[in-house]
Amino acid sequence: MKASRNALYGGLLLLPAAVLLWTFTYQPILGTIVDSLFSTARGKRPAVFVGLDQYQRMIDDPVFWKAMGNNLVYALTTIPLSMALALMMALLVNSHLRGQAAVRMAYFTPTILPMVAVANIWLFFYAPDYGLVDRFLQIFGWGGQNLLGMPDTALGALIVITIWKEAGFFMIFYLAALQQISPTLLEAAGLEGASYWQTLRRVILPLLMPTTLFISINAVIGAFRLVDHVVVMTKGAPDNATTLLLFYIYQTGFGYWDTGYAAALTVVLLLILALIALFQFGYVDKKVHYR
Amino acid sequence: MSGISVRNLVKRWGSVCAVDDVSFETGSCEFVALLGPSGCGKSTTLRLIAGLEQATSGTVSIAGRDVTSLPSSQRNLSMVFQSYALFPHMTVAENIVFGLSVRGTPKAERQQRLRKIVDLLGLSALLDRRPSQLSGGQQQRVALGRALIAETPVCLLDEPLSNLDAKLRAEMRNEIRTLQRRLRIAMVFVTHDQTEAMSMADRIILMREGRVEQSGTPTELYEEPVSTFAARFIGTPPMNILDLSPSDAGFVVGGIAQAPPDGLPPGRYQLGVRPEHIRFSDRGVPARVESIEYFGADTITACQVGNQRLLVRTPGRAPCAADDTVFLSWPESAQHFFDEGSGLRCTGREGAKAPS
Repeated sequence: MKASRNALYGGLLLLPAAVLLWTFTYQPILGTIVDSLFSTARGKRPAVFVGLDQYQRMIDDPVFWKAMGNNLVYALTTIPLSMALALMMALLVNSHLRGQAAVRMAYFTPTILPMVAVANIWLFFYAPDYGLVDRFLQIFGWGGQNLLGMPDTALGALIVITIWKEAGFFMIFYLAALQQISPTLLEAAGLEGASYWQTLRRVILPLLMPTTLFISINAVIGAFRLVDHVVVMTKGAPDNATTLLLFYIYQTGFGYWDTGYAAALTVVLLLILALIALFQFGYVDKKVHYR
Repeated sequence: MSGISVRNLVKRWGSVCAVDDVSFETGSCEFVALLGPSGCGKSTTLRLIAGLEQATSGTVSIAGRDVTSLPSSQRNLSMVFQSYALFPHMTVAENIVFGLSVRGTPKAERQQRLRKIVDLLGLSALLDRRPSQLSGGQQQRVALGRALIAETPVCLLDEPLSNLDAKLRAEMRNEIRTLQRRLRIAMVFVTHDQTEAMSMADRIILMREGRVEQSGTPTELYEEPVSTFAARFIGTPPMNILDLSPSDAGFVVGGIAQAPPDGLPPGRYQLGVRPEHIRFSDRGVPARVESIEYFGADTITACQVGNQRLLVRTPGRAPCAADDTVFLSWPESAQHFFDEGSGLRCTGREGAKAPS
């Protein structure tokens, strides 16, 4: 009697959260998976069950593979570079410098700007001939380039923006973690004769590992999620050189209204993220928590 | 001089003077306690010796070498921190050999020294554990191991026993003392616990408000405290300090005249008597029993003498009950006289006539 009451109360307490989760997370995922097995409804033709046809089409779709490749390059460059930069900035502003607060704020500023605004500012920076970047390159005789317009440089240009924007955000986490490290541990390391680099490599970095894991999860999600700058700056051009997976889904779903195919692409994106999350939580997580 | 030599050491933070002109020397295999209440500058003094703080002025020499401006890593000393400061991500073995490995000691030698120290401290079964998987006493041992494996002539310990429970503390007290004797190194340890200092140290440096109040063997501190501060700090319970009222008959406690020590000029003085030197007798200073604390081996009786309070420590059970009127006496040799204004000791222990 009492046990069943408890179950009832427990269930009722969980209900609001469960409803929200179901409505906005699980139901859309299931809906997407179902939709990906149907053709796209057009005019008077309703959607019909097509099995794995959408996925078959994906394998033959060169733009999909281009988007995957771009996303891979994008993730493999932005994640390590922004994290390394974040760590360096955190170590710098954690030391007792004059004007430390101003430097911290300067590093954090890109984070608080909306990506759309950032993208617009960088459009000017990248503008050929009069843009800040091009002006700088002119010094070396490499001026007159439309960095966002050339297939070889367009993705790189976006990568730079992403690193610039994300590093400050990640720095905050590293800074918080650095301040959690007991100064006594660093004193002990110094007294034992460890140099700055030895202390960094053997004491500080291992103690930052839980934070590194946390940031890397955020960075991976960010690498697949952040496409505002693609929309504002290049729209995937030139020649799909800057098409990232999510941007391709957006284009397919809301540009061409091919919702069935967009659903199949979304399922693939979800699978990729789920696999990465499993690896991070299931494998890496066990190795980085010491307490 | 192969121990530590501290000369006129001063450490100021802004207007706060944490260590004020401290000087002392230690022998090469002496066990020295820096004792004092919290905020007396003892930990700062230790950190100055260790090189974790920069001295405002004065010098620190270790084994005859001036190390005042050297970083802690080059002072050839080891240290056990109050919180142990073990690296949480390393195993016990990695923690202990950390110093050797960053200094580039060959692996074979590292292993050999590790085995030696681990046997010494009884840690062999724990080598692969992480600090979080150890008890407080085991962590303490690992911290000691990390300090001792360096085989430095000087080892500093900052409140080494304060994080242990009472039973373990007594065990570690013995163990650390034995280790120090066996390794024949100089150890300086900081403590606020006078029992620890008395039972472990060859010499105690008692500090107060950044200065050395008294430096000497435990016996000297106990038998000849230089001031009422030292008298009240050493001993459990501490020395009784009574105000003496001047009168025609000399000095009076509880209406009974106390003959002044020879050659003591007129003035205001205080009388110090240790609780264990006071006896209940049929004559002497009349007192009223306030409360009785029974500990088994001995009993501490709080008595009211005039308007002053006085503790008496007697073996076994007390021969009286609360609210009884008793007479207290003590031998002349147990009397200490202090100047009331400065709190400083006036003459030797002899020189006054005891009530009897």
